[in-house]
Amino acid sequence: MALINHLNFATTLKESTNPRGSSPNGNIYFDVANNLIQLITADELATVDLGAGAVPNPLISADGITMRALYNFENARRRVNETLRKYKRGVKGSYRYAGAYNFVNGVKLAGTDRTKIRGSGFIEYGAAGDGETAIDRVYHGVLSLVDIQNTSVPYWALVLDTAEATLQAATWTNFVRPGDINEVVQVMGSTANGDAGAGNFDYRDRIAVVRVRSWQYNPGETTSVASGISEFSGFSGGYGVGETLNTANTYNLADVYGVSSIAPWDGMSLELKATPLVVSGFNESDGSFSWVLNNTSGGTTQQCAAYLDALTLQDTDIDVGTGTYNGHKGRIWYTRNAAGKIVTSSIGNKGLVITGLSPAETQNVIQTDNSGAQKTYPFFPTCEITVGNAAISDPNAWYQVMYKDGASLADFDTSGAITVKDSNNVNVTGNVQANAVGGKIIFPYSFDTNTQAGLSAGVDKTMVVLVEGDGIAGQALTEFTMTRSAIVSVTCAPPYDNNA
Amino acid sequence: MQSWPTDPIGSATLTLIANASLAGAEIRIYDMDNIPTGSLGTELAGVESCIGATFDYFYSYGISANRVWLQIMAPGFEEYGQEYTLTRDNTTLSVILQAELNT
Repeated sequence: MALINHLNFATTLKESTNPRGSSPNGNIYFDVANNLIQLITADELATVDLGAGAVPNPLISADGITMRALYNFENARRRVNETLRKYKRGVKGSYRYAGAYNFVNGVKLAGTDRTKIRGSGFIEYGAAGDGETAIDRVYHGVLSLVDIQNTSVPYWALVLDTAEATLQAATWTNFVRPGDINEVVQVMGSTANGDAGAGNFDYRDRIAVVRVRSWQYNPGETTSVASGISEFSGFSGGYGVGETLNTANTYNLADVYGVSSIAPWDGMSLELKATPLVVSGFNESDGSFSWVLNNTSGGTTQQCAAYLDALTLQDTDIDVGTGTYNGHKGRIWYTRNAAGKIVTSSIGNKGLVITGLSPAETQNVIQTDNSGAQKTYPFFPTCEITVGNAAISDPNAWYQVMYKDGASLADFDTSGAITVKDSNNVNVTGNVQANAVGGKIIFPYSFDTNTQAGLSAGVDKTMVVLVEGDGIAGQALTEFTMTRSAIVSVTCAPPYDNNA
Repeated sequence: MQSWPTDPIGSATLTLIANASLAGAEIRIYDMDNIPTGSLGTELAGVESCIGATFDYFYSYGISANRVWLQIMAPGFEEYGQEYTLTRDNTTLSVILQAELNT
């Protein structure tokens, strides 16, 4: 079935002559004795005769009904049911385009039937006076505008501000219906007029924070303020919240977090430092970080991101430090920039640093410090020189990498030729058998900071690699360009020496 | 029906007029006697479809005033309901019907 609205109410709703639990024969019951309207859904009444025999009850809890449909249905029934019209009406329109309707004269929906209302908000007025003045309750309708998978359970809180401490202390409530949000939230209640279950609070001036988080999906969050709603009342508002597939997270949650987690995640923990951790080695100045993701097993940036994803789902303390921090109520720990890099979050002067990343993995993260400054790492292309079987089999074979065109007299094939240093400031030269890994000589290069041979940092440079044997392998020379690439692949493979 | 303190001592007419013609409107007048319980009470008068642009309700009155509920269901307008105390004089009551904008 589908949502029951003003277009289909006439063919989907039927007034019941009996209340729920007493053999109802329709899906709407006007309980005039108790000033209630019952929405009798298919889970309570499987079939209903709408005039042509029993059919499945079109009123379904998950799909629900709009207040506009209920208003129109009451109008239609009062027009023909002279018994019903002897009682004051229950629903009144306010502004249909915002889904704004009211329950007047003390009439209310029965119990949990309020959660079946869609695309609407409403005010419930007590019977006192004209029946449209004394407010018992106010329900604001929340409607998500971005897809949410039907297994995800979004949740919300009404807060005075969105400071992290406030959100940690807030009461968060799950929406009753999983999936796309289309449900009312009570924002005001008063028992002064006799509605004992209304509660006594007025949050109409608060901020609604609406979230959805689920594994392998990018989280969604927005607020009423961001949605242009400055004050709540009995209307429905659209919220730009939803979730999108996180294609980078392909892991099993049980592997990433919990008692059965496996490497490298079993070596990860999140800690709020009492004294911020000062981290150096960035392109920029040192950064101070209050939050530290301890990555003791050398997980990749993406594996760390998956761990942070898992933390946001935990309705428990996720801080291994002395404090307490609830993951479910807490922040989103990172975002991704246009290049797909992980950008850690800094909220309330508390930034996050991910430690334990390999030089190559540091290129996949931007660490945001306590001041909100984004810290990046020098770029270290990994140069991989394939040397061939002859050189590998020659115990005397050697290699050396030099700059082809250095400044002044620093050119290759001159006495001033400069040997390239790797990112650890070690000359790239040595014995092939001693240093080759998998048939390759591999070294990281400080692309953004190396100024050897009088050449500027951060620019492409032409280099020369020599691989020569002594007894088994011959000689080879290869020119290549060191670029700002993750991997720079070179082949310099001398043939077998048949003349030695 | 709510009993009068004494036998009727007179009669009067309440004329309902509105900001729109009442022709075609369903009009009911209830006694507010709470019969059945919680309801607007016994129906004293009414029409399924008002013939003229106005509606006259002729009633007898006693010593004490009587409260009634006026109900007007006019096509194109919100249902109108108002509590009203009948007087001993012929009276014209002008009501404002709100255009129905929320169906």
